[in-house]
Amino acid sequence: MAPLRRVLVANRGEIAVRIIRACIDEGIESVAVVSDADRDSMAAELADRVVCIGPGPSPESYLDIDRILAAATLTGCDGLHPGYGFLAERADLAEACTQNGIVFIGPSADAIRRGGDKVEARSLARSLDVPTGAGSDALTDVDEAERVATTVGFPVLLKAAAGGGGRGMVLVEQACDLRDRFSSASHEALQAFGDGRLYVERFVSRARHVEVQILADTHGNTVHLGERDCTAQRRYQKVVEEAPASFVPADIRARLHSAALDLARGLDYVGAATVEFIVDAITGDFAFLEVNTRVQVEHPVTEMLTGIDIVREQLRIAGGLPLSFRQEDVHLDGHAVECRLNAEDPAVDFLPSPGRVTRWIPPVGADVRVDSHVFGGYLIPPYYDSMIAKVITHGADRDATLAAMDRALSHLVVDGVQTNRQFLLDVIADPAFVAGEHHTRWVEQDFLPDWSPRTT
Amino acid sequence: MSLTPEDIRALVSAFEGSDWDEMSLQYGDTRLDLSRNGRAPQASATPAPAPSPAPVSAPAATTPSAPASIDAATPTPAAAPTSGPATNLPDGHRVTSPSLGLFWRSPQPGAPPFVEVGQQVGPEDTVCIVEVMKLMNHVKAGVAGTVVAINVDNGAMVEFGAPLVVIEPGE
Repeated sequence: MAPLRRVLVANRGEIAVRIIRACIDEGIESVAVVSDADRDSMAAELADRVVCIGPGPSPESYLDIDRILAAATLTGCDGLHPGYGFLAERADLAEACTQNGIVFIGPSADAIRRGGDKVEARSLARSLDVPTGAGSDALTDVDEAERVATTVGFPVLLKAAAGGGGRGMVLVEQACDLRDRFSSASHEALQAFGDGRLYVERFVSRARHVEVQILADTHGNTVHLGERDCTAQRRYQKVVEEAPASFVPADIRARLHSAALDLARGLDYVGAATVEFIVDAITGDFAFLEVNTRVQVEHPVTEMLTGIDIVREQLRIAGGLPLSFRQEDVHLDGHAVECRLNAEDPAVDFLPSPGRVTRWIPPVGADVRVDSHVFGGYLIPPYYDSMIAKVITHGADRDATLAAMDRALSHLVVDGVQTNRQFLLDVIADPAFVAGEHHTRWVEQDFLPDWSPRTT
Repeated sequence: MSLTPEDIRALVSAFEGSDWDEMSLQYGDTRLDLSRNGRAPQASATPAPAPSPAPVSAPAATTPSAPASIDAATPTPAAAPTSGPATNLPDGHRVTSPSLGLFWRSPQPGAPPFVEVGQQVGPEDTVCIVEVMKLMNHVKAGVAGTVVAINVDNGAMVEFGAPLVVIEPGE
């Protein structure tokens, strides 16, 4: 293994810019792939080289392994960073890279498979004495599902073994609905993920989502960078993330860190990973949810708290270098919050709102960071997700950090498209959020029914 | 397999006519290093072999796409030459590339090209191949007419949407 010299950035939007920034800082050349719709993107501007691989729609561009690999091999890349989403957790991409002599900046194909199979990951967690919460292994049989669900107690969640990231989940509130829901969920899972296996999980009605950031190199160092609390979600998509998880007792947080380290070691993990847990807000119990074998959207929260550059460490790890720090060097300093700014219209059920950003003035402040690919005049294409920026603030404690976020979002100017900017301001100002009483269904169940968008 | 004196003269002439600063070519058992403006050629910057089966073509009309190697001890891997700019193309129907990939003029190495300039084609006729990781995409003319331009060197990398062949429509 040798330090990387030229990396293919196999993604788009803000994370492509983020990866290019880390390449610049590491002295590595970057090659950006773009679809036809992204020819004028910020990533295209910043990369050392850009190649257009296909039309706007992702199946013929960002999701096409052959085109991505062709771009890497034909431009002489020795590494490939998949970002998040798209092909980031596709073991076949990792394998194709290896077969073509390109270092995949992430774990092995085997670790991706084992982590990505939610049932196998649960079973690994159990073997390591990591609590997994009441539920089952993979089921293809509705009778067995019924037996497990009855034992666990309704309501239950039916989850796709090949799903994850909030996808492939069905809530079954009553026993009489189970048989029908099981067969439709299995069919949908087969369509969406190519795998119709489901498993049953007890539904926790008031849950906190807490995840642990892991980094592991090829020199035997596996470390954690603390946890993040991502409880504020709308339809299982994260809205606000923060660190530390102030409302989870310190002893539970310590157990989450250990459990995450055990799981990473159990997977022989190399690279950046995030281990997700559900914490029952009522009982205080926690359970392993899933492991994400990639860098996450909300990684800046941890970077602001620790001062460690996670994407640079990924590049170093892939080049065979050791982590630039040890566990004892990790200090979780103060508090950090991230808000995801999306081009969407909260007045129309958060419908995506692509179009031209006529004015863009990001906020400034001593402890404000904005990760974005947007600029004044930028045309947001309609083919991709609606996130246009991540606004992150850091402060000595949670109150100071939230006050800084309020200032930042209040001073952010974005004209030409609808955004959730006001929605974010109202979420972080809500007394329940400030008191930490929110849970993973709070936005839909408690906040939104009493909220209405308004022009300011 | 080696370069003839005529080949070398043609390569030097092509280099002189280009805006390149340096060129380094390995062909069979012959190595040719050229530079201008008093720069010593980077003898240790060995280009990776061109994708087979095409030999490295004289890059008269192209600009090198790989950033120059700055570390002679561990040279950055070379990149495939890219297609030329789309300026100076005659009017007509442009057949554009369906993907990023390698442009091939013939069905296989050594075979005659699918089309030459001046040739009549029908809409379903293959004019070239764009190869993506060993998958050969046959690119069709799309119109009936006469081939008036072939914009890309054999074996060059093309991007999605790049103009490959221009056809003047007409029966």
